[in-house]
Amino acid sequence: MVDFDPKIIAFCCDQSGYVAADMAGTLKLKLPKNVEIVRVPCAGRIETIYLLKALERGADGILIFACYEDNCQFLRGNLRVKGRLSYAHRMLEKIGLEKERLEICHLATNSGTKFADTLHRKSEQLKKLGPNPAKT
Amino acid sequence: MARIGILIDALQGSIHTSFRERIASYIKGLPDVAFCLEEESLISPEGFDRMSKRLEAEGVDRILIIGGSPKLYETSFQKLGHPLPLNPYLFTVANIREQVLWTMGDQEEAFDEAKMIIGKALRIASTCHPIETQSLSLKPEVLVLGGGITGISIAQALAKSRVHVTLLEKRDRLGGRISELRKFHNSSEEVQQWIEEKVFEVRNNPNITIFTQMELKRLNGHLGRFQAKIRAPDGTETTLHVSAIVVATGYETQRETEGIYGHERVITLSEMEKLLSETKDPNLQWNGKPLELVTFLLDEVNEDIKVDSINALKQSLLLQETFQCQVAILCKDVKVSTDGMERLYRKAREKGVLFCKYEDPPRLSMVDSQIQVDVKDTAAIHIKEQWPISILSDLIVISEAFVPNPETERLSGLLMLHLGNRGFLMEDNPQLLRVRSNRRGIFVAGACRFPQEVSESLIEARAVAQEVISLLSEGTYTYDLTVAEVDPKKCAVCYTCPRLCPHSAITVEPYAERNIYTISGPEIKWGAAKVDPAACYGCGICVAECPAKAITLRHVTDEQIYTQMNLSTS
Repeated sequence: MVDFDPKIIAFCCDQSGYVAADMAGTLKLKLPKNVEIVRVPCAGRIETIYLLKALERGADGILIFACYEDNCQFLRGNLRVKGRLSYAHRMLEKIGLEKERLEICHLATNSGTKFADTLHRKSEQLKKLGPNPAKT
Repeated sequence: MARIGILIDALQGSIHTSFRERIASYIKGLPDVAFCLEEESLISPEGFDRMSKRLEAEGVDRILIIGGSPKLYETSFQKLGHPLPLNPYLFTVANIREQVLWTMGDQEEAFDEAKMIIGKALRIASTCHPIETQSLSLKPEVLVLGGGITGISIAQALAKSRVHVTLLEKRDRLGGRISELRKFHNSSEEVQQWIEEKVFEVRNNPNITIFTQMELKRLNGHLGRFQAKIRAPDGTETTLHVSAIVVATGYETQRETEGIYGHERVITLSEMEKLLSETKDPNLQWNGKPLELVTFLLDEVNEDIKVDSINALKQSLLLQETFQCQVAILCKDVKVSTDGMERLYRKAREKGVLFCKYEDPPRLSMVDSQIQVDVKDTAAIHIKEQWPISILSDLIVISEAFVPNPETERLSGLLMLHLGNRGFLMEDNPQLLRVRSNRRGIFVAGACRFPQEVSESLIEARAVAQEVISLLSEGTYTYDLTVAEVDPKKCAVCYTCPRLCPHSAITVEPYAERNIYTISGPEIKWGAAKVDPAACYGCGICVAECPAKAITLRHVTDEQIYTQMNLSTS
């Protein structure tokens, strides 16, 4: 196991994920180092290319914080991104990258603890996986 | 080169003094920074005034706020409408309170992280663009689909506020399904008389135009510019230009007729309602035979709907009091969550109505000319006390299943509205936006959303009227252009986005001057997808899905997202 702080890109839906991130702050929960929070208006805004580019340019893992299914403000945004995520998973499999590096987490605005826990779990998991070999 | 003014939120409890000082000294060494100040009341009017003066004096074109969550400041900058010398979308927020100070224990680590976030925010600040505001004029013209009780009430309320209403009804008369109802459960008023008065008022209101036996055939356009094509039975078509549309098409019922349910001694609640209102003789009769014991069998259909409980209780009281019949009500649950229902239930118990709770469906069988109901009463807590009982009754009253109007499905396709899981129309948000549909400017109300009681429909009618009036009262609809935009040159007309848009804000129109996929003649315009800015909610689903990357989201561009990701190469 290599000792490093994996770089995690956390895409946060403005309706739930970002508010949950604020909530994690308000609850004074410790977050892992090296997390970049990206605020998007809806998880449906996240393109497949963002996920792949992020892995190419130095991210070790990506988490998408979206609303619960059936709970999207824009009706189907979180389902669209789920579809794109599984497409990205298939591509990662083809090029031989672990698909654990990409994950979606559904939460609500008041899930500050879940937000922090998921990031910690991801960070631990990525530490075990080691640095992303696809980094340029 | 951008000139960025930095304000540090010094509100007590936000960021402590020593940290603010360290940040301030770090910022001084950065390029593009015009000034860096601490401000105590960033979101107060006085703070705004001070800020405006400084912005003008220093000639800055971007503002970066270092403080708490952007959600705090955005509402005041973008929505409160304080006059500012800068476009509200040129403000960037570095959230170091929630994301750094409160989540990092160590001071040194926190400072490093804060430096990174500020650096990122400065880069975002130099990439953001001003976003203009547009407005759309709205005529006070509304189309109401459905002339039932909800539609009538909406029309009345809107006409009172001098909004012209076109009321469209498919049948030849107004009133809809309320013709089946004779008595309210919570007032002694006669329903038919009450509705006649309402219809009379609506017919004589100069602000209401009524079209009966007409139906909607086509709808084009978006909020403020809807074009509705309606057709009469003889085939003549009229086009209406309206600003908003209300759908209140109601429901249908389906009766079970299989086996014993088709027997003449099994009737529905609405038939019972009619029988009760038409019988003047104190001896109630059905098909020439006197009635002594009537059993209501509820919850076999519509298990989660309270309308049947209300009607059954109301009718059972009439039967017990006026006609001296014995009444038994078999149900899974008595639903009393409506105004006055608890009182009605207690009264029914006092008058001697028998209530029986069942779980396994009751068995019906013919005994002589009566119907016997065998059921196990599960109202007692102990299983030993749950006895099977048999009731020999003269008449069984069953409930009809509520189903969406067949018209609803056609309309949902026509208006591009979403349907819920049972085929009823779906509201935008079941908790917060109960009468708005997924499209801006189209509202849904009444029993086309779910089967409901008259008093509930009346409340919804008032809610819709209020929403429509608040939309139309100013005469204009003002919106920020935080919307998706299609580049017609790149659009391949693949129809992905119009199908995908949750708010149906995208249509394909011939307006493109040039298109890379086709060679155009000098005077021909090519078709391309077009986002209507007034109807777009700015979610960005189409942007991410467009295979030709022809769509951009004006307030969250690709560049801004890549900057936020803060990755090594660009």
